[in-house]
Amino acid sequence: MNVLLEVTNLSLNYGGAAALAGVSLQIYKGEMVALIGANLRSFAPSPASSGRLPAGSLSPGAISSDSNPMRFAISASARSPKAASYLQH
Amino acid sequence: MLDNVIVGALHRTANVAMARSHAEEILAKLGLAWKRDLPAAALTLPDQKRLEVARALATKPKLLLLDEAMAGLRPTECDEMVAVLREINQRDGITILLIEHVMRAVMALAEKLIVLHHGGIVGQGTPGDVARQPAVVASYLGESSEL
Repeated sequence: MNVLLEVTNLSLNYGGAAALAGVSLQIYKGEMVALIGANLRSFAPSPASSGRLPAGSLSPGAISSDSNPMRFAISASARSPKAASYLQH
Repeated sequence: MLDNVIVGALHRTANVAMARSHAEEILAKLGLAWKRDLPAAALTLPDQKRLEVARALATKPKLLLLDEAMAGLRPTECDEMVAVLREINQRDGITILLIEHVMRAVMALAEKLIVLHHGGIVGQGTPGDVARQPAVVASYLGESSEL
């Protein structure tokens, strides 16, 4: 199977709390993958943070799609033709 | 509703007629064709959720990232959304990454489960395997889990 999305050593902090601490994962083409985790009330290491990363805020680490590196240093670049994001109701 | 999906389709083409045609196709696939002229604000929550998926699908994604798409749905509505997503994955071959707290949907859909705790991955594998991993039980599922 081919890797469609690869995340390498990604970290994200909210204040002093680590939402993502050096996370690496691979999503293969055609897979149905679920990411779960506790949503804490205040300092929340939340799985939703991982989903928001490609839409804007980022940290050291790397995301690649189809082996092509994707960079999302600013939210404007997340509006590139390779990534679409829609707000939910 | 149709206009919402056309916005997604315009991500791939500047031709409005083509975008409209693609949007109509997506709405039909999701069983929403007959509601196409309703205002999005008038839809029920399950239909609004389905519209979100339709809008995203209209962009012709290779990978669909869904952030808590089941939130607020009743069990039967959740099961309907599960069926929609399974079809998108299996019929259209679109890879799906769900970020989800509704375990009913997670266990029904996911072929691979990744569990985060304090920012790190504490378990991953098939849902059945992950549910038996001590670190996952301790950090997320709890001892009384029936999974």
